[in-house]
Amino acid sequence: MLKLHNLSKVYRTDEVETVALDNVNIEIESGEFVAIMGPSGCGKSTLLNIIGMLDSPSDGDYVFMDENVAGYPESKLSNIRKQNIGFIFQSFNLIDELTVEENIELALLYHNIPASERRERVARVMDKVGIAHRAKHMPSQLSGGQQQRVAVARAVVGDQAMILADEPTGNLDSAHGQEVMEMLQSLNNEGTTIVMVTHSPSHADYARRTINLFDGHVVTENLRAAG
Amino acid sequence: MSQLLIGLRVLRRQGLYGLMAVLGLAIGLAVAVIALLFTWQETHYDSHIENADRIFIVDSRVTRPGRTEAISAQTPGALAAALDDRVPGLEMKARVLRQWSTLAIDDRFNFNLEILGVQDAWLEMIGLPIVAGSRNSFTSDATAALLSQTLATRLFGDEPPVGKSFLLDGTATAVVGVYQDFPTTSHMVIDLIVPERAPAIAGRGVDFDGDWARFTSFTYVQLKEGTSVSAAEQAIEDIVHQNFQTARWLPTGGNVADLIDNSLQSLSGLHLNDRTYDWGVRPPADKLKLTVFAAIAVLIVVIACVNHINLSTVRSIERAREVALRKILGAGRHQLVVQFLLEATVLACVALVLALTLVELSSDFANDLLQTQLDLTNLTEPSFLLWLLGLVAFVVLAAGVYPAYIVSAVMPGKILASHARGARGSKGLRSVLVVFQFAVSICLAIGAAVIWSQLKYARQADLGFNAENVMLLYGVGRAPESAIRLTDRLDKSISGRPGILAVSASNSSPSWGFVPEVDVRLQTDAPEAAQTMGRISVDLDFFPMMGIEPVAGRLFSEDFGMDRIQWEYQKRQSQVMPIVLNKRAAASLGYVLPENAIGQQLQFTVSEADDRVAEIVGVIPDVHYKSLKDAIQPMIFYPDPGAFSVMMVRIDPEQREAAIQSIEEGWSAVMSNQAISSDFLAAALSEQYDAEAQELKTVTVLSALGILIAVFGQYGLAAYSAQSRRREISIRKVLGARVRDILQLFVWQFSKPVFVAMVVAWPIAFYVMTLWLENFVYRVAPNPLWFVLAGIIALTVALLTVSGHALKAARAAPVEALRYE
Ligand SMILES: Nc1ncnc2c1ncn2[C@@H]1O[C@H](COP(=O)(O)OP(=O)(O)OP(=O)(O)O)[C@@H](O)[C@H]1O
Ligand SMILES: [Mg+2]
Repeated sequence: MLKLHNLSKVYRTDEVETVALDNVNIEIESGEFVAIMGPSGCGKSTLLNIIGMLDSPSDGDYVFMDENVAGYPESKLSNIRKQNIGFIFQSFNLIDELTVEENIELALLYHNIPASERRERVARVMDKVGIAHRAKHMPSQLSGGQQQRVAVARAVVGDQAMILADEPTGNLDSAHGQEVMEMLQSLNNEGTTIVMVTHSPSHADYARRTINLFDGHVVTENLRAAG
Repeated sequence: MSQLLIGLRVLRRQGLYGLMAVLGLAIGLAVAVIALLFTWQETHYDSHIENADRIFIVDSRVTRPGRTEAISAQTPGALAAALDDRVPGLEMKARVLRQWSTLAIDDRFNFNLEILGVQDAWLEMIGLPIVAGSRNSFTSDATAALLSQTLATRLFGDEPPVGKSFLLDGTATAVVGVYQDFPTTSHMVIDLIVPERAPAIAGRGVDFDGDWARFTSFTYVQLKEGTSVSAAEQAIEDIVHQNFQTARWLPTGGNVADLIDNSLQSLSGLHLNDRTYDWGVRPPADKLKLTVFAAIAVLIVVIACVNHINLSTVRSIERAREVALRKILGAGRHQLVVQFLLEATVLACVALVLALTLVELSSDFANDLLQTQLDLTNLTEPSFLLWLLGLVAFVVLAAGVYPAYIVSAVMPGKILASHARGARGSKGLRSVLVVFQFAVSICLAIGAAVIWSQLKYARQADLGFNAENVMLLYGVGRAPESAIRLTDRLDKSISGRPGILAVSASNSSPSWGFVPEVDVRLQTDAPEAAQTMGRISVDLDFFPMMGIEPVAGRLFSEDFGMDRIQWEYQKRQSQVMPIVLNKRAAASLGYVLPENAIGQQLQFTVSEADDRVAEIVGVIPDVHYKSLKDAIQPMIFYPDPGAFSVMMVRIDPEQREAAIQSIEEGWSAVMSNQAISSDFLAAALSEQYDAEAQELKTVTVLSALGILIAVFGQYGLAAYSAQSRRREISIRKVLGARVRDILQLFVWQFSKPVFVAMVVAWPIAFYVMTLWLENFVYRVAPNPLWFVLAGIIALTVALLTVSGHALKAARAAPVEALRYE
């Protein structure tokens, strides 16, 4: 599905230069469930953002579905992104002024899908993540777990091939975290590629492969026996 | 003091938003200061004259049965001399004569100007300030003259003017003194003053001293302090009534007390009274114009205050924390309110200083717009400073009270505990205020468009005659020589020269807006059936010269003896006079078909001495002899050279320069002591609408300022909105929104209030402009296009203003905003 080759990311501010990623080589196959782990500040989010085309690498190649997207302009990236990638964030990132339903629909809004079909698909995923009874509520009226379910629903409603999740359980208690992980697993079982950043080893266990980052380097890759 | 410092600091911290609010307010205040200055001046006329409140002009209201009443600032010439101790409290009195004369120096100057013929008492009464020479015993020398500084400089440059001389209507006249120019806020402004027995005045042969039959002279009286004005007024009116000769005015008899009504108008009240005099003193303050202008100025200030209100409530989120902390530290609500009002005061004062600078910079422009001369030294008049203080207080209250109230009401616990989202409740108000800003601007823009289109219509309308390439020569009736002979000689002198196509004369030009009236009835009707019609006396060339064709009958011509004989004064009395009617006159006499009017005989009463039999020889279309504000009235045209006061010359446009020279040469060959005063008819017609053109300018400028100030506010709000919506925009972008999609969000957010403003503005503008258009009898219908266009302009400007921030927000990389959540 995607391949990072000698990929680096350097942040330059006025005084300091931070090397967030240093010569990273990673390959992810279609249908994989990959967890990315590592201490705070090691570059996990940076890596995920680059994979999600929210940020561009400073150096190296990023081949996404046989296309080297490393130097693409934002408009082109945006197009590839919306076709193929869904996002889940630690802080949910729902829009406060929109209802649950509208928040989910947002992911379809920019895809040229007729309104009737949008409503249908939103209803379907709301059922799937069990949030249908809260369709008209505002995000602020929901618990953290419910909010993250809305975020998951929003990530999957577009039927994208890959979902990127940056600490999706970071703000949730263990029971709700469990719930979200199970949702991700069932999505993976249906064939969605999932790349997830997490601090929790037990949640990493849901993944088939774990990539450990340290200081911008890939240090180990653990393959978990299938099953 | 520390609160003031905080206020200043807050302003600084507000950065760009603050700057926008201050700039907007400065512009608003500049408009307000100009409006105040203008109003102050209009209400302080003649304040430079010491006793302005007890110096009076005697005016006369003349009410003739069946005629519209006329108000004149003049009285019979004999009145001043007749005033004596019958008038209680009379301290001083003076007669003043005013007329047009020609001033000449060698071949350097030869021009017409208005002059005053005065008595010493008048100079003393108004305390004419002399800067060179003297006005003592001025009137003892009939050929002495006093000049204004402006005229003295124009004539003699830097040389000392006293002792210099010039020709006044051909008489050598010596400058004995120079006076300070009359301020523009004077009831009379004049550049040349001579004794009333100067040859230029006395030589015209008018008997002012024995005049008890006409209104030829200004009569000034000064009353002792504490005198009853109404008693003096009554005494003066009694004297007029005892002496006035009514024959000319009441040919069929009547009571002089019903005819003439005199009143005393103090110089300090003259400009604000409701009397529009026919001639001689400044027209009274246009109270409607003052009110409308003041109202718009207030609106503009309010629009500017709106910016401050909006920007400060929108920023209340940030302030909320500060306020919550202060509250926890023990600040009472009223202390917070004071703090906020102080901030508004600092804002208002900074803006006022900027505004005064703007006023200084734009005063020439403002003078042109308001057709006035703003005197900036009035800014430091103590009573004007009070007005300014009021203005600042108004701004502080308008801009400060609501934000103070909103922000000081926050509950400290709530704010500190959570990520509060600012003053939600103020969002509705903010939208209302933005709608208000744009509604006002759109209304003004529509107003400008309607005025513009009416003006264009009025200036291009088909008036029924060809006004192009016609030159008007004024002052024909001025010379002592009889108008009959004079116009005849001028006609002969000018005709036939190069570039001259036709020469004609009349008693009134269509550009004057003034048509004398006459009573007309069919011979067969009873005298009571007489109708009042406009009367225009013309010479035989008039109709062809003006390009007017008859709809029935014939026009005047040399071929008809009855036409030409009118030029022979002795013989014409017994003759039937040929007249031409306009269609409306024919219709009101009962001849709906103009043909039927031909040959009918009329009784035609110009005055008691001039009651004649006339025969209708032709009917012409309804031409506009007045501006489009007035309905076309029934009019008769008759050949009577005795009343001519303007000549009309059609020139060949191909030989314009030659023609103008021909006219000048032809004129000066006949008029040795009178300079030519001329004008093009088309230009003079267009000047009838100068007031509207001025209104157009003012409204356009004010609407542009209104939009500009609103734009400042939009800019601030957009900056804030781009900032506060960063996270939402990032999420949308992560979900696939393109730059275009985000821009759309902004476009919608900022165009919604403008759309609402349009809907609010349209009916208001329609109503007001319909009223305005009713000034015109002949007018355009308000074009829906203007309404749409004004909306589109406001929309475009609003969107252009926010586009910078919107683009920046839409282009920002989405991770940036999300990372720090
Ligand atoms: N926009 C930026 N400008 C400068 N430095 C940045 C920027 N974004 C990230 N960094 C730096 O890059 C490094 C990697 O950051 P990143 O957010 O990827 O870490 P992380 O592994 O996701 O940490 P955490 O577990 O705390 O989320 C850090 O040192 C961080 O300070
Ligand atoms: Mg991270």
